[in-house]
Formats: sequence, C-alpha cells, structure tokens
Amino acid sequence: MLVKNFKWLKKTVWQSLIRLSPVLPRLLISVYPYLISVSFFLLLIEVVSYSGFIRRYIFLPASLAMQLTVAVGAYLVWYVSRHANLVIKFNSQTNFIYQFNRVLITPIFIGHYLIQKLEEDHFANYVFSSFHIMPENTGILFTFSIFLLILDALNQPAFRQFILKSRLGLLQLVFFFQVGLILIPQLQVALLPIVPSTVSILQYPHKTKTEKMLQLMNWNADIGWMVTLGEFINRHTPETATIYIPPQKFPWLMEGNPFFFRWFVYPRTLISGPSSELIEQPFQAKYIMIASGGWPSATGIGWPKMDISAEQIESILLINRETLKEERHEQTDYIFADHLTNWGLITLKTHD
Amino acid sequence: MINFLFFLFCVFLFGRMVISFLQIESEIEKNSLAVLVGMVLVSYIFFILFSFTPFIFSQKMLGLFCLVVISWGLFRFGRKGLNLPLLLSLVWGKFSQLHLSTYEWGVILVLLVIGLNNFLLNWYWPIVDWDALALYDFRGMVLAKEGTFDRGKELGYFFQYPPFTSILHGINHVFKIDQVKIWYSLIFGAYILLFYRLLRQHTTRFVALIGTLILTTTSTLMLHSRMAYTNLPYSLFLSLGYLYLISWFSQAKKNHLLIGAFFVASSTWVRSSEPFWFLGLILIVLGVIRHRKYIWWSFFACLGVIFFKYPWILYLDLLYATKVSNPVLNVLSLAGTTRFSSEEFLARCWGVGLFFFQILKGIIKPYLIPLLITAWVAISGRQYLKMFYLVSLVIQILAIYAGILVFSFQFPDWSTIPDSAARMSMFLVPQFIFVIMLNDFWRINIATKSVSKIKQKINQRQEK
Repeated sequence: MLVKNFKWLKKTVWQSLIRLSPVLPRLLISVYPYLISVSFFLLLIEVVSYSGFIRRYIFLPASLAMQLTVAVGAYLVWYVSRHANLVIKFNSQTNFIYQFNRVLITPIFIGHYLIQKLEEDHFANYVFSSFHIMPENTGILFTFSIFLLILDALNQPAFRQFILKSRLGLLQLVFFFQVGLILIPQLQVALLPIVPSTVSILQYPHKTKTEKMLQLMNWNADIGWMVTLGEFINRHTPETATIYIPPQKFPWLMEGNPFFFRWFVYPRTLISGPSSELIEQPFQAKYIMIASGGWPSATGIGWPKMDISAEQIESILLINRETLKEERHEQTDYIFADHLTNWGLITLKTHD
Repeated sequence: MINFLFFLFCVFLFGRMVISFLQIESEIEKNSLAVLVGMVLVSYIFFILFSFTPFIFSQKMLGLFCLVVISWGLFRFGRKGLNLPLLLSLVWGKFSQLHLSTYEWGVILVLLVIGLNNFLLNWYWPIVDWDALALYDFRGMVLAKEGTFDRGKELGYFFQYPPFTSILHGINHVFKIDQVKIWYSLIFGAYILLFYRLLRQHTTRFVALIGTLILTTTSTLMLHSRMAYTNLPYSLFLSLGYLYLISWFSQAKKNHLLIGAFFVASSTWVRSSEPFWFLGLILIVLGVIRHRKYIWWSFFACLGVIFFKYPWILYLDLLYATKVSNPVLNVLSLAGTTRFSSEEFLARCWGVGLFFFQILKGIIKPYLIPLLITAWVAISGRQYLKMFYLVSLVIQILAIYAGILVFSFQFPDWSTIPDSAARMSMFLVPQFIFVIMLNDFWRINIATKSVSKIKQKINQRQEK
C-alpha cells in the first residue's frame, strides 16, 4: 500500500513538474527586464554609497542580485534556443533594455576609465574621498553591462542555433555560466587599468626611484615621508654612522622600526631608543633622529624627550616636512619642548 | 643595464643547458623551464659559493659565472646554438605553422597585453611593500654590499626565509639596477607558459588558452606578481611541482618526475618551514608504485626534495653554532612533552577548522560550483585521472588544515594570521583552474568555426 502510494505521489509530482516546466521560463521572461532594472539600480546605489550598503538595508548583496539576473538571462537564452519550436521570445521591454545597454556601456566604460585614471594620478581612495564614488563598484556596474551585452549577443539567431546544435545541457550551462562569472570580472579588473597605468608611466618615463617611491607611498604626508627622511639622513651622515631612532611604538611605528627604517639608511647602524624615551648617557651613537611621529594620525609628539645641552651638540639639522627646507643650528641647546613638531638630526660631539 | 641584461641571458642559457639533458619537445616548455630552472639553480649555486667557499658575491663573481656559462654554451651547442637570428627564425617558423582561429588569436592578444603590462609595471615601479623592504630586498642590499650573509645574525630579522628572492635582488643591487621586480614578471610569465603547456596535453588549444587566461587574470596572482614577496614564487613552484608530479603519476614520463620533484624542492628554497613538500614525496612514491621502471629516478627525486634546503639549514647551523629549530620536529617534541586532554585537542581542531573554513571560503568560492560539476562529471564518467586530480586537491586542503593545526600548538597567537594563511593557500588556485579546465564539458569546442558557418547559412537563407 505504502509503495503504491509512493509511486502515485512520485508520478503526480513528476507530471506536475512537466506541466509546470514551460510556465517557469514564461514567468521568468516577463520578470527578467524588471530584474535587470532592479539590479542596475542597486548597483548604481552602491556606486554612490559604499560596498555593502544594499545588504545592510535589504539583506541582499547587490553583486548577488547581479549574478542572479545574469543567471536568469543565461537560462532564458538557453531555454529559448533549445525550444525554438515553442516560439518563445523575449518581450519588448527586454529588447529595449538590451538596446539601451548597448548605448550605455560606452559612457559606463569611459566613466570607469576616468575614475581609474584619477586614482592612478593621485592616490588610492582619491575618488571616494573627493566625489564619494566607489571605484570598485563602478567596475561591478561595468561588468554587469558586459554580461548584458554578452547575453544580448547570445540571443542573436546564429548563437541560438549554435546552442541548439551543440546540445548544451542545463548542467553544462551552469558550468559555463560559473566560468564566465570567474573570467569576465577578472578580465575587467585586469584589462581596464592597463591604459591609465601605461599612460601615467609614459607621461613621466624619467622619474627617479625616489619620486616613484614617494608617489607609491602617498607622498610626504604619509608613509612616503620615510623616503625623504632617509635621504635627508643619508645626505648628512657618513655610511659608518650610528643613529639613535625613537622606540618602536606609536607614533614612531615607521621611523622607530629598525627592521623597516634601516632599508632607507643602510649601511648606517640604527639603535632603537629606549621605551622610557630618555636616552641614557654617555651616548652610544653620534647622531640622534629628531622625530615628531610619522604615523599618519599622530602630530606633535616629539622625540627625543629630553633636553641636551649645547656643550654636547655639534649641530642640529632640521627639515620641514612640508617645504623640505633645511635649517642648521650650532651652539644651541636641544630643548625638547621647542621641537615637538620638528624633524631632523642632532649631531653629537661625542665619539663615533 | 647591458651588463644586467647579458646576465639575464646567461641565466636563461644556463637553464637551457641544464634542461637540455631532458628530452623535451616543446620550445615553449623548454624556454619557460630554462627561465625558472636558471633562476633557482643560479641563486642556489651562488649561495653555496658565498656561504661555504672563500668566494664573495660581487660583480666579479657574476662575471665569472657568465664566462663559464658562455664557454659551456659554446662547447655544448657550438656556434650554431648561440646564433640568435637562426634561433628566432626557428621560433617564428614554428609559430607561423600554427593555424590559430580568430578566437585563439584574441585570447593570445589579451594574454600578451596583460603580460607586457606586467613587465612594464614591474620595470618602472620600485619596491615599496613593507616586508619586501624590511627583509627580502634588505638582504639583497646587504649581500651586494658585503658579499655574504654573515652579518645577518647581528642584524636580526634576517634568516626567516631561505634567500632565493634576496639573491635575485642582490644581483640587481650589484649591477645597480633598480628594476628588481622584473624577476617576478619573469617567474610569472614562465609559469603561465608552463601551465599552458601542461593543460594543452589534456585538452584543445582554445580551452588551454582560456584556462591560461583565467589563471593570468586571477587577481591574487596578478597582485603578487607585482609584489616582491615570496608568496608568488612559492605558490607557483609548489603548484607546478604538484601538476608535473600528478602528470608523472598518470603518464609515467621521467621528465615530469624530475621536473615536478625539482619544483617541489625549489619551493623549499623559497620557504623552508612550510611542510607541503611532503605531499610531493607522496606523489612520487605513488607514481613509483605504479611505474616501477623508474624506481632509481624516483629515489633520487625524493632525495632532492628532502635535501634541497639543507645547505641553507647547514649554513644557519654553522652561523649560530646550534641546531636550527625545525617546526615539524618542534611539534613532535611538543606533543611528547605537553599533555593535551582529548577535549582540549578536539576543541582546538574545531577552532582551527572554523578559522580555516573562513580562509578557504575566500579562496575556493568562485571555483566551487565548477569544481563540483567537474567532480560530478569525472565520477559519473569514471574518469580516474581527473578523480585523482580532485582527490589530490582535497588532500592538499587537508594538509593546509593540518599545517595550521600544527602551527596552532606552536604559537598561541595562531588565529591572528588569516592573511598569511590565505597567502599560503594560494598554490591551490592554479590547480583549481587546471582541474576545471579538464572537464569534459569543454569538448563542445566553442572555438570551432561553427558559429561563423551558421551565420553564413543564415545569411544565405536570407538572401534566398
């Protein structure tokens, strides 16, 4: 009895599925243009807000909405191609959106390219901080537009017949769709920055290594300051010099890190300042770095936190972080309170 | 600059001569192998010379190397072998014989554009990444200045990794060439070509090109190909070693055994503390169980994999006059001395499992569905080779899990290294792509001219 009932149930479910199977594509065809519009809109919102904005408020990541839409599109292209005898066609809204996308893809591309160029010419996050536009999300929008263009192309009669003749199965479709999801965004990310990055190189082919490092390290206001500071020290000390540097803690996490900063001043020897921030006398080195604190969020902390009398000092060299102007003081005391925001080098009269 | 370029040529020539003992037919494979083998062996030989002999690393030593290589080249190939126009005409001759479809030309063009851009970027921009400055490039600077690593003990933060990349950097510093990152472009380029060759053995040219394109554009690999870290060479050597060794298992080619073992051994020359070379040994042993005629070659390959890093360990032993700690032995001794209750052990296993799942999720996510479909097709079609590739992937994933578990017993802050663990797992990515491209579904061969033929037919119908 149980077996009989199960067989009946199985047969009924199967038959219902068969009856329903043409309903799903028809339903999806009518919903598809709205899906595209909604996905486009959600992606656009994330362009001018931030990544994760949509997920935060409607619990659906915008990128997932895009993937679902493209998956539905791929399924429909496959279904329509495989069932040419059923005369199922995309509705006029879909065709309109496809045509609209053909026009829209160029401005999206140009916009995305310009954003990439701006980022390349200034610094990372420049576009977001200046215009509140997320460069990664314009990339996703462009990827979506590419996907729509591909689906549009696959909908042409030649490709439809190709799909029909190739006997592409549903699992195969899912497989190729997934591979497309890997490849197309990757291609977009790999290919688009090529032109702006090449142009920015060709614009300044003769930049020095220091200039290039400064650009990559966000100039003197940021980590790039280590390049300038290193060059300043190298200019005013011999290769055999031993230099006191601040302790490796906030705000001297860069210039106080001997394993990092030594690259900039090699072969000079660095001695980490004690954690008490007072250097014990007699001094073990001839030079002391004057360091305001290079970590981006810190200002005016100052180091070394001690006063040194003029009798012990040969000279004090200061460098302005903004103007890079250098000043030399001789026969003057080092008063810590006067040097809170300064950068430079104290040359001691002691040994080396 | 000319000196440096000539030196690069000598590294390539040296690699070519070393691999000339192997019977390799493909020119692509020969040249790519020459680049990688040349780099690894040159850095290895230099290290042995400046560490264990009175030689010091200097321009004279590099010049001497070039002299030896050129003399050997002349002796081995004669003047004909070094005739560049002849070589170019041979390469072009072979290339022009290829009948590529429009789609294939398109993919090759995209690959060329990406490759050239990578070279340009690495040629132009200097190193700025933190660890590259603090460790890898700094060691290169010290080597160029002092000729040895002997001051490393005093300098501190110096011997964490074997010196493969630092010696390459040192060559640049000796020649006073700022373009240090060019080595990473060469490694990446050569790897891409070898990946293509390996894939081409199993599938059509178009599918192999698509697989190569997916690999080339993988954002993690692209990013690391522009950074002077050890992650890229390590991942690429290890994955290449595995792919060759799996190929050795399936095809019983001696070349594949030797090349695979060489790359697994080379990975220990980039990062010696990771234990994944052990899987290479297992693959060699599995292969020799299947193909017994290469038992001696397999034995030598195993020795190579095990002992390749030993000059480095020996050097550290001599320098510190102590036994350098080996993480695996540490754990074994720790397990002997520390008593974990079974509950604690299981809790740690679960904790590491959750931690690893988060890392793995990030890496495997894009490839998961194609991999599952490939597994389904392989299992339903009883394709044992593909199943073997998949099983080896699962074992590698389990090995990473085991590695983190071992690490967790050594370092209390083990859970603060998600980025390092993700970078360490990077060697899985090329293998994921390789396996996906082996799927039978690709046999549809989109590259055929069928679409254009159909188009022609439709046009003809419309005209009628």
